[in-house]
Amino acid sequence: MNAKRLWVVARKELIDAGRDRRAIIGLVIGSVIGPVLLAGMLNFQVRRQTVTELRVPVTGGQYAPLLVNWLRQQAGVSVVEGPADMEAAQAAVRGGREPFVLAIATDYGKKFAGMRPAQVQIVRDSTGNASSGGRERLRRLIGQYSAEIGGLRLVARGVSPSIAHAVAVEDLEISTVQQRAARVLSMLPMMVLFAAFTAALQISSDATAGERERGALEPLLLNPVPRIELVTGKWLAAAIFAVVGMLGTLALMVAAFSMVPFAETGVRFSFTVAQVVQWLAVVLPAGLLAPALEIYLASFARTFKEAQQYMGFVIMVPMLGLMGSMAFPGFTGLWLAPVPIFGQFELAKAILSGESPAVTWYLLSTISVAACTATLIALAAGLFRSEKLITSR
Amino acid sequence: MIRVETVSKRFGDVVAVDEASFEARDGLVTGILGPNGAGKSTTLRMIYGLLRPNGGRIDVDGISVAGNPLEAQARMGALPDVSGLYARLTSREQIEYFGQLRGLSSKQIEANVQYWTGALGMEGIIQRRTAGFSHGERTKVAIARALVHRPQNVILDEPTNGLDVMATRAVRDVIRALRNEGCCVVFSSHVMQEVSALCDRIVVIVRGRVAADGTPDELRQRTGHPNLEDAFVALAGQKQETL
Repeated sequence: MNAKRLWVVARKELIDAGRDRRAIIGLVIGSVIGPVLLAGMLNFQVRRQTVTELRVPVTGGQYAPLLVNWLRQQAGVSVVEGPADMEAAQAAVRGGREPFVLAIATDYGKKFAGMRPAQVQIVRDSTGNASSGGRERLRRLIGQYSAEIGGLRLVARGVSPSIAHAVAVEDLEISTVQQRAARVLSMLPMMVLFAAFTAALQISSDATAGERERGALEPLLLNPVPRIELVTGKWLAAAIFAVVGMLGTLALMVAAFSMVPFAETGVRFSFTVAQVVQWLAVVLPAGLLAPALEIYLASFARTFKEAQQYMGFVIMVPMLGLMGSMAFPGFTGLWLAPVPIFGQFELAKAILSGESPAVTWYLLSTISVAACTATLIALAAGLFRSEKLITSR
Repeated sequence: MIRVETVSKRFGDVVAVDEASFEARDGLVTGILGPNGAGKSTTLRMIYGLLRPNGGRIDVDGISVAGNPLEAQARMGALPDVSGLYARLTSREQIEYFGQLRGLSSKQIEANVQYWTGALGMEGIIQRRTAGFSHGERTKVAIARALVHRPQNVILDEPTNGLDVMATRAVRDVIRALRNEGCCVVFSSHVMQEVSALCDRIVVIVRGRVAADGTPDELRQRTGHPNLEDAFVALAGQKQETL
């Protein structure tokens, strides 16, 4: 192959795609979509784990001043004056104005003083849209208050409160912080590959099916250039788009990470330069498969639109990789290494978990993905040799 | 110099070209004349190496197109029936691209861009992107792009089809200039005026077969019609009757 001519072809495709609004939009969307999804997911996780303000509307607070005071002292709880009476409370919940109302019975004080279970009600509507999170938290808080008061009563009678607790439950977290971080980051290769597929999609189908549709392939093929060089040049241009998309998506993800308050989740990211370099060396070659697959499939299509239909399926490929490694977590044998995408995903996961994978793994998976890329390009060149490319347009 | 010897081409059961033979010599304009669907484009596509004949042999300057397609293509410049320009590139960029693909130096490319800009009157459009060009403008750019390497053998598939008078004249002038430089020019047409105005030799193709081959005078004599158009109709009709 003539390297200079290869670049002539790639350069033309880059200029052509650079002026194609759809190609640029594809590149931008491909780079942005992963980081946005990831930021959304992380934010959701962070918010789920941080204490948000719990607003408790209380009806009949005057009957249980101690309880109301105690609730006020709890972190993240604000007690507000609720509807005037039980009827109004029910109407407020039914009407969706309040997710729930804490209603205190008029005889609360009498029963409390008499050491009988004093009653409070949480007015709620299960058919409504309000989430159960706040309600459950309130229920736990009241349970805690009840246990505290019960404990004090036992102490007053000279009995240890601990005899009232026959069984104590406690969660024991055994995953390391690094492992939890790796779980979040196991999504990353999929998103980077997704960027590669999306960024190269437009240029791959326009340089093949699009040019065929517009009759631009026939004049091109009249030049004394081997078809394999033309296809490789087109692939090279699409691969540059894929790499730009992958690096863009990584840069945006780093930016997104810096905006998420990780300290609150207990997740800490700290990677060595060597880890990052290893990770890139594993994931980036997989991205070069994307334009090869796209160019091969688009070379079957007679029109740009037909090519776009094939591309809809191609986008699923990176997700297959992730789903595969999730569905078969036990399958980690060496045989997986040469399976394109899967091998890279396993490797990437291992590197970020702080393991150092065997060199054979890396060689097998990278050589395999390179061979698949070369094979797809050769197959596409075969399609370019077909007379149908010219005769059926 | 292009030699076509008993060349056939089938698409499934359809015989598009049936043992066609003719010769196009240097310094002459050879017209491939035939009704629509006669097999003109298929014949030309076999000459410039995009379709492989099912039988027969094509040589360009003594080089077998089937045996050494890239070498043969290097000696040809061809304009297919669709201009197929890149809408987002300027005229100049398209011409330069093909020059680079053919391995010309940037000096050669610049000289030839200048030459074709002048020869085809493209001064106003050379720096513009070709989206929205008129048919005549597109054809001019496509010709300059196809002939950027100033080839010895020039193949034009219906170059004047659908052009206005001014553009047609520009294309005719180019064809005459090429002949005067000693090039071998082959062009196809179904328009009699084009062929009679330009051709030194005419190859009449009807239903994939060469129905007649000779100078315009020879064709007139053979058919007994003093008018070339009548001669053509006689040849085309005669062939259809025999089939």
